[in-house]
Amino acid sequence: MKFTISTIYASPDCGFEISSKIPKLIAEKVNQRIFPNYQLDTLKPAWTLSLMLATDSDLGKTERKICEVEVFEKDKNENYVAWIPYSAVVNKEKSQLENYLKEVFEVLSVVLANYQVDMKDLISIKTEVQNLVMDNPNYAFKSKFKPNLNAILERVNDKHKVGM
Amino acid sequence: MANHKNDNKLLGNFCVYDIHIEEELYKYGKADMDRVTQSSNLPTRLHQQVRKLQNDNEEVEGRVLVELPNVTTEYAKDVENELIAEYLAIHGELPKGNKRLNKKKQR
Repeated sequence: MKFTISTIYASPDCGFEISSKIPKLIAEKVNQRIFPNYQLDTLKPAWTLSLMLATDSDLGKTERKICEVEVFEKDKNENYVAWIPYSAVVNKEKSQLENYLKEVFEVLSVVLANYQVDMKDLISIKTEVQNLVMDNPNYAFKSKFKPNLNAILERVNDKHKVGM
Repeated sequence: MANHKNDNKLLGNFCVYDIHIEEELYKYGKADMDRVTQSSNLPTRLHQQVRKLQNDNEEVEGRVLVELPNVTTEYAKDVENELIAEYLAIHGELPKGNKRLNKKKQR
């Protein structure tokens, strides 16, 4: 199996200021250092163990939620979705990056425990990732292209008024 | 009469999303917010697309851009198409993941 991490921001304007290179780096470290040690790289060859990190703008959510694994035989995929509370990452006491790494590795420890991975093996990776990405411009957050939604919605509203 | 949301006149709750791969916009899409994956509570279409893309790609990131409550399917499609058109006007090409859709429309 190989391990991947992706991200879903499930409501508008709830993004973390975290480069997508960081979950990629974490997944790489897991593939290089964890999976071989636990023979997970040879378990179910051609399969993907995928973790989707999701969040939304509901500030009332304070607990992490890790959903049950879903297995997709046709796609050769075991998929976990983990909801991270937005407020746990975006708070002013610490940097978003520090908070994000804490949340992601807490999630990883739970998900990978299903494959008998010991948490102590993740701690060293977390430290390594933290040291590598902190204040490193190669892992700095870059804003994505922002469409002009107000103008777009105005045009669509006008079109639908005319059609009525 | 059709009672599914492929019927352009049917009212529903939609969202329009984008997906980035390696920090580049891959596609725009729309999802029915009333169809959520039971286990994850994510809009099924968005969940499915990100899940499949991450098998072969790295740095996959999906974002809900706007929620469109109580609109017709046609309205949601128009928002999606306007986003694609805006991107084309600015960048001179369609998002990679929307190119196939556009070819279908040209037939």
